[in-house]
Amino acid sequence: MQIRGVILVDTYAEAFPMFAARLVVTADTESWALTAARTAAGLATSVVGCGCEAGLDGVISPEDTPDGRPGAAVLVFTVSRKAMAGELLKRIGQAVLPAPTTACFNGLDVPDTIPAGGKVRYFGDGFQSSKVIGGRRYWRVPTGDGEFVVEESFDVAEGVGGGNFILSAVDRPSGLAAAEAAAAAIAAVPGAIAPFPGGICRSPSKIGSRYAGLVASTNDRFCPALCGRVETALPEGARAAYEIVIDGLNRQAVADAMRAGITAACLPGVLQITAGNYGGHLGPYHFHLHHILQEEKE
Amino acid sequence: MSLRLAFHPGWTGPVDASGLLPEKLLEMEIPAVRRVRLPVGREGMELGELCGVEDVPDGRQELVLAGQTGALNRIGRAMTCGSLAVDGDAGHLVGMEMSGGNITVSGSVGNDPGASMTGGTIRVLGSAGNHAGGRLLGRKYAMSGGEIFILGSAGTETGCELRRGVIVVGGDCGPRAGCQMRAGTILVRGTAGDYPGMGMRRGSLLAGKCGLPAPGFTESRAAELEWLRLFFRYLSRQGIILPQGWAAGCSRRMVGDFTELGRGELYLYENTE
Repeated sequence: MQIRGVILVDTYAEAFPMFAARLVVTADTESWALTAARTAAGLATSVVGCGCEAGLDGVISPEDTPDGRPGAAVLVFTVSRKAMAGELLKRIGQAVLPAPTTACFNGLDVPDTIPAGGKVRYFGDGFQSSKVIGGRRYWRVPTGDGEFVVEESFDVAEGVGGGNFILSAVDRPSGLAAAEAAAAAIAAVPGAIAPFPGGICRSPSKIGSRYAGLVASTNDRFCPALCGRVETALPEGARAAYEIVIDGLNRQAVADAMRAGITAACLPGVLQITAGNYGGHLGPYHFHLHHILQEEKE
Repeated sequence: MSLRLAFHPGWTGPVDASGLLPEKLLEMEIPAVRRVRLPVGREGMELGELCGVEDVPDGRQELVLAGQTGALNRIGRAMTCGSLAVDGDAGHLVGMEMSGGNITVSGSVGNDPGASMTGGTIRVLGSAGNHAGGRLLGRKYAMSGGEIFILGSAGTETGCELRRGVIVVGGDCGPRAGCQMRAGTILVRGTAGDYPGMGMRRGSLLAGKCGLPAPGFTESRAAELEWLRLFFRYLSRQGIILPQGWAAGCSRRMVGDFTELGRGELYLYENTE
């Protein structure tokens, strides 16, 4: 299958269940809401070394936020519920709370909850107080510019992590331009994030390493500098490869994001798009590239 | 389909309407509804003698009480779900001990609406008597959840001993609103009488103006507090329109009552229209 001359390999991306939460961060201005949201999603590229994967899920207009101020949504993904509790506490407490004028609300509606805000409240040192408004409990933590309002409980849903595709290009500029186009397209898909820097990963990775204790390492088959030393997965003439990793609130969000990203990435200079899988042993979600693109046609 | 009970004029004496619950009557056939007995004074009477009973095919699931409803006490007692509308005035203790559902009264209500309630919503389009959201004698707690919206005025000791929940008064209220409050929120759009929040431990009391402040309160600062945006926005979704100036912040904020725990707040807005 080809899209605008780019070969789409007949393979699939293998994804797995993750725990997902969605934070709605509001502030007096959109700029501060975005600053706080981006800080909360900082250093969260991969669960391998960051504890979680997180990213911006878009800007929210004042009409759609709980307090009527500009907002931004952050998606957070972890491999365990316990890890989610720790990550939410850290990211709300250390990134959202200190940001000027902010408040933080739960952005999902599922039965399972984690009382992250209920723990952040202790920063109030006994001066915190709670309010129940419309059946939801909020904590008020006194701060220098007024107070930080945080919802007591954050819902935790079953999300999907590890959707991916890898593009190979004739050179780095054309590969990067295609990857940037893909990341921009994915950013517009609600409920899905590309957690790596700018949405792009320069180092497609493989599970395991020759070094004990390292759970992931560079995927040598996609490194052009190793052509000749190892069996390569790059097509003839490719001198650059970029991976796009996608997490989503559900299977459909990941599929939509992959479709949008792949379609956008088919630019001049791109030779091939493939996907990473582990023979079906890693996770139950298989995103066949051809099927995903055909869904759009249908 | 709604069930409409149109109470006949002419009978006297208070009626204990505890048994008129939507979750109960909407499940029953009309003849069975007519045989439901209510205490009227010291006697008991069947609903068929007290009121006309009819199904109204309006596509809603609601129990409607109409006609001479002013002497019906304890409407919606211990109600857990559903919708109950009173087309007219209601007596005392509307929604006492209710835990869920909605009660709407198009007229005014007597004393103790929402006494010891734990959930649900009471909406009074007229005024209310004393002790809205208060504590029933013999009960441990006053209102500890839910919402009471009174679009008119309210009497004395509104929200006395309130533990949780929201009480909104569209007009003025009498003295000692929120006295002995444990927590929760009371908003008086007009003027609260003397000593609002006297003896309150926690919670928030917002008013356009108030009479004499309680002696256990001290001045604080009117900082920008985000919870108010959240609260006002929620109220606007409930159809409660506040004066324009309230969104800009209060003119005076006091904290107290320091004769108690001292964690309560009193916001005054001076009715800046």
